[in-house]
Amino acid sequence: MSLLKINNLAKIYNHRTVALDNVNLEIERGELVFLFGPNGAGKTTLFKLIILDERPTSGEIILDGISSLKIKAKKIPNFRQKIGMMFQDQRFLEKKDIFENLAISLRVLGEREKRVTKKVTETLGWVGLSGKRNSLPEELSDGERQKLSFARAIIRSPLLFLADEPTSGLDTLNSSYILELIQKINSLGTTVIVATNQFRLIENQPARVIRLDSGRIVE
Amino acid sequence: MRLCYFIKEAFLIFLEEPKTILVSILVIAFSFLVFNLFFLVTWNLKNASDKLNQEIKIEVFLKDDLIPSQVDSLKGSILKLGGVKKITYKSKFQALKEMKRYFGEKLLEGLDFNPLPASFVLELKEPYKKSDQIERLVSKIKQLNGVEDLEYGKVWVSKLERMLSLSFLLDLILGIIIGITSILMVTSAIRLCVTLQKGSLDLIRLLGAKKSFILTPYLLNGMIQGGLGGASSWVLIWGLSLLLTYGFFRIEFLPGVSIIILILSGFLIGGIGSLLALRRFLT
Repeated sequence: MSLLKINNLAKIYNHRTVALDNVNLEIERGELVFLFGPNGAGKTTLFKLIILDERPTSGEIILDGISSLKIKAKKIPNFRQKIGMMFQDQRFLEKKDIFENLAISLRVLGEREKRVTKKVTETLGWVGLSGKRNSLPEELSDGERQKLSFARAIIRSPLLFLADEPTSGLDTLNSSYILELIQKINSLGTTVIVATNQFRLIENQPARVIRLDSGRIVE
Repeated sequence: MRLCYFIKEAFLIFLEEPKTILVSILVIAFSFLVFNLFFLVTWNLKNASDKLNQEIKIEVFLKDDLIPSQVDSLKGSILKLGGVKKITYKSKFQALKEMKRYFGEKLLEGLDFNPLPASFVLELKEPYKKSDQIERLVSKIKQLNGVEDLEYGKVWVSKLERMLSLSFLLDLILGIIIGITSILMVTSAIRLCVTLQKGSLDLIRLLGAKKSFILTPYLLNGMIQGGLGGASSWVLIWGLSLLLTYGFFRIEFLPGVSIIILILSGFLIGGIGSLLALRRFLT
């Protein structure tokens, strides 16, 4: 059974702006998929619908056997806990330090503090941010912010990892590093969808590439 | 422990909006202080009333023509009515002696007889020292044979009790008004904090946090605001009482348990205020 299945998904804003139009998609467990398309193609909207931040106009999302049409409101947090996401707009808890920004991702799961501390310390080391443990997000460089965003998404070993423009605004070195990290977690078994508008990122990738344009899957 | 995390987060909210929350605590403290002042008056009235009630006695004047056996029988009848702790017979001679002691020998100089009646002085049991109980007992004694008249502090007993009831009622009304004001204060402070933190709260929500996880620190923060307001008001009224005691008045401070009641009321009011502020986010 596939991990993520999207059936006839559509999202129309204000009855006229079509963000997604009849999107059908099936992603297997452990797969690495690139969602490629220009700005405004509907990549971010698709991610927002997958994490149930917004409701689709029509269609269905099935993640790990749970349908967006049947899920009860109080079960939505559990649904989201299966997903780790790197947001395009790099959202952080700006008044909290790096440790707390990572810890929150585990605390929402109800993890014990001892385990939280252990996991955060390990993950910070893994992404090379150990020295920034007590810094605030605003004190980090763009590359470090992306690493933090990546770390927060994968710290709780999600079933599905969504990365929305993970290399946007980064230099070649940092882009390669982030891509390397993404490939590494995929090789460890996590299903990954990377949304990007950078062609160089998908070049020579041994992964499935889905092209999205004007809200439709074109390839 | 999750509770430790929530409490820590609740205190961190103070740092996010320190001015708003400080104003909220001060408003609660001064509102409670107004209530405390009124309650202090009531408390002192009650103490005064209790003290006066302790001293209350009924004097039953006897008809002049009673023979000793009738006096004894009347004493028995009074004791049977219940509520009397001690009954003391005061003869005509003793009454005259007392009067002379108070007003001097010359007062009744022209009279060749003793006009004062003999009487029974009744001390009452504790539960019978209230005006309605006294009235009931008095009306029963009046109906007994051999009783000429009765004397007790009817006017001041009922006046004081009326004042006390009025004072309690005033406290209750004031308490409700101040409670509502404080709730609204906490509501607006928490609402402002939540609105200003919307971005962070949205992020936590998207990470899979349940509503209880997101909102519990705000609920606790409201309760802490109320509790701190209540405690501060106690300190203020304590200081004010000291000042008044050393200044002009002799007042009794509120009982020790009042600080616990004030803090708990603060918690409750803060909790209600927070829930009202979070209602929109909970639904």
